[in-house]
Amino acid sequence: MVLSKQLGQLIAAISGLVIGLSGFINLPAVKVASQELLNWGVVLGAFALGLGFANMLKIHGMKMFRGSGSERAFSLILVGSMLVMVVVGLVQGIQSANYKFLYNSFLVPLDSTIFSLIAFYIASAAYRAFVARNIDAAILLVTAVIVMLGRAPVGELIWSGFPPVTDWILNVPNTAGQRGIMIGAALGAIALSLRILLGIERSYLGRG
Amino acid sequence: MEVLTRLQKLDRRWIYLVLLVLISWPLFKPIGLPLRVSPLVKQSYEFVENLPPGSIVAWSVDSGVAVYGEQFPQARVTLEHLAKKPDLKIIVVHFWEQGPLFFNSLVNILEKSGKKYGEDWVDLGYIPGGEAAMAAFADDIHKTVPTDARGTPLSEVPLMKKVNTAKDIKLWITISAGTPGIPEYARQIQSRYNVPIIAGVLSQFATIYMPYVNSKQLVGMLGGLRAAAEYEKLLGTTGIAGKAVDALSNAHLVIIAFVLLANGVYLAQRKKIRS
Repeated sequence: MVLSKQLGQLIAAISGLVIGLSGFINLPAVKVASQELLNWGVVLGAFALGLGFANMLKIHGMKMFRGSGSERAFSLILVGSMLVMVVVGLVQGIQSANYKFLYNSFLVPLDSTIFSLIAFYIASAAYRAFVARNIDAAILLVTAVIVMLGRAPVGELIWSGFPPVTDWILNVPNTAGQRGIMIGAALGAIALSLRILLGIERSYLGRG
Repeated sequence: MEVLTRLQKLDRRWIYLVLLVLISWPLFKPIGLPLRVSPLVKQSYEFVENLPPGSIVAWSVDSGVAVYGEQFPQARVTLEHLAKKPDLKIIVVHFWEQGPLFFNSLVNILEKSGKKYGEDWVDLGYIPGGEAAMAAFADDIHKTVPTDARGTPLSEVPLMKKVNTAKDIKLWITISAGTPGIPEYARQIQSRYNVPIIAGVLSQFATIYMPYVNSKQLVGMLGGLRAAAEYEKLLGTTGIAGKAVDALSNAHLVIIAFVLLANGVYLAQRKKIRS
């Protein structure tokens, strides 16, 4: 177990180093090695999809047999839907009429509907929480109203100045704030990458 | 006072009902509000229009069905624009597993455009691996994708004989909803190979990606459903985005109205307590 962890760290360090160096050193050997490692990453990505599918089958398969009433039902529906899509996709192809029917008639409306519920939650949350209790909240509220009106066609009908003011808000204060966040996140990512390459960060190896 | 208390404790189902009615109504009876084309959408449109003849454009859907309502119109209108330009070559490739499923619904746009498969456009399908896949694809397309989505070796696809790395791509249009997405494109495609990128993004992400526009890493951006409607207007087509943008207006108005009501109630309550 200790050896596998050390081996994992060694693989991570060497892979990261080779791919990182390929951006700075123009040696054919480094470029070829880096390209090969990236292609292995593509293969691993495909494998991860299959692993995810197997894991879902395992977890929900167990719930189907050992879970309580509604848990069993939902797991049965999930596993059933998964298997139907996989079988139809593999046997008839994803361009077949049956697969397109399943995708357009079930997956698209159901998935979009769940996501669309956010609009209703936002409206309800805005009514409860978007109250100008102090100066900061008031500034946030006014900015939000201006941007909402600037982004909707009806806002231009109310006042033609909403779109340019909205564009200014997005291009100036918003961009400045987002740049700060991005730079902070990038520095954090560099620090984490260094920790992984140097073997200090080992959480990706799992527990045990 | 009772009215104020009732308004303060308003059952959220009334809010849901008002929103449902006012969003649905324009879908059945469009209002036809005038739509101004924003500078960013115009910039995106003109970049495609001004591409030199024979330019190779990569087009990818890196999105999922959850955001179908907002991003399908963006995918459709950008693909329609590319299809209308007979001298552009198109490489369809995706880095999200649902990309090919999106494209399945739009493939007839290319098939009916007069463009010939293999010579004017090619479908390379989905490449798993996230950012690593992007980097591998950008460095050596033939090694990363040995065959197209129809099983033909890339060496036998006439269009792909002219394309080896991302350097050969003159524009990349991505309809993006998350990770891998714009930051990954900026790192692996734009900064390493100077490929101009136009991104179709969700409206809530448009604010986050504005720095990429201002630094010219993105040469254009379509933020949300409204941007798709504006692009449709520039293209001279009518699509779902143009019809849905009235519903978008109503939704914004409803939320603003409820926010103003909530603040009015709060101020009235505070005044009452102070007096």
